[in-house]
Amino acid sequence: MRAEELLKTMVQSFFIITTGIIISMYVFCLIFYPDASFSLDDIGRILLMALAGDLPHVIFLSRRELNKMQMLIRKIIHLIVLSAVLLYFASLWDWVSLHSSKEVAVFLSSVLVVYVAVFLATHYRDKKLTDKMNERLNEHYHS
Amino acid sequence: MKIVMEEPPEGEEEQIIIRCRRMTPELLRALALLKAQDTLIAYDGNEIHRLRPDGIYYIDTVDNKTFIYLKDKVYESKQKLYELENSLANSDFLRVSKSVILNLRKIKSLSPALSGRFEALLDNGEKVIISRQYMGDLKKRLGI
Repeated sequence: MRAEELLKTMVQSFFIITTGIIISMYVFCLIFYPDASFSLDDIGRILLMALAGDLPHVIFLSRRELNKMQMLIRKIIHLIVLSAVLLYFASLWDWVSLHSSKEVAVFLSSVLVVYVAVFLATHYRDKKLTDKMNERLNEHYHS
Repeated sequence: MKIVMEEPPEGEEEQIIIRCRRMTPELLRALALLKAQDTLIAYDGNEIHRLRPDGIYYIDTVDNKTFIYLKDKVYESKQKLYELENSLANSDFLRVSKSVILNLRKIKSLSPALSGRFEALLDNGEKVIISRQYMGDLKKRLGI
């Protein structure tokens, strides 16, 4: 992925991560802190966290187009780094206690669920598009 | 020699008709020049080849060098990728990433390649990645 493409992806991902954090926080607080309330600072922290979560995208930076396997390996590395970054900020602001393995597990599971959901949704959309493109390719070039 | 130029009626194919009693060296040179428009000059070591576009699978640049890939052979071109792209405009070729021009007629099938990119499986078994940046052009070419 080249720099300009990466920048576009990062802008798009910022909004996906922000939404993901809000969903995760909602589920997390429903389980552990049902009476929790959020301040203006917390909203700023969510945005800051999303920005920090965007940075690991540099993992995809490459001069040449990555093949499927290379991309899959970088996706896995990205997920690990992203989880670490988000967990760091969540513990920094006392949203998650690193001493509670249950809280850490639920937090990381939320990140994983959002990541996999976005991955599957994108794949499903792309699969539908390729089916259409293959159909057109056959009509235009192989009929 | 008289040169006559006529405008063909709308919808009729453009053509060059040569009316002569015999082929002179000048005419042969002119014919060779016209035919050369249809081919690309490529190199295999010290050998120079003329390649017909319909036999080309894709054109790739690596470290500022341009390579032309046929079914099972690779040639080097002295031309830049954008120059070849211009030469092959209005044909079955399409730029699919910063470094690749692909012959759409050689695609066997397409599949998703993660992160909004796609992979083209060519009929010689090779795989070429289509960058997300160029997907719009491909969709337009396929009428989607």
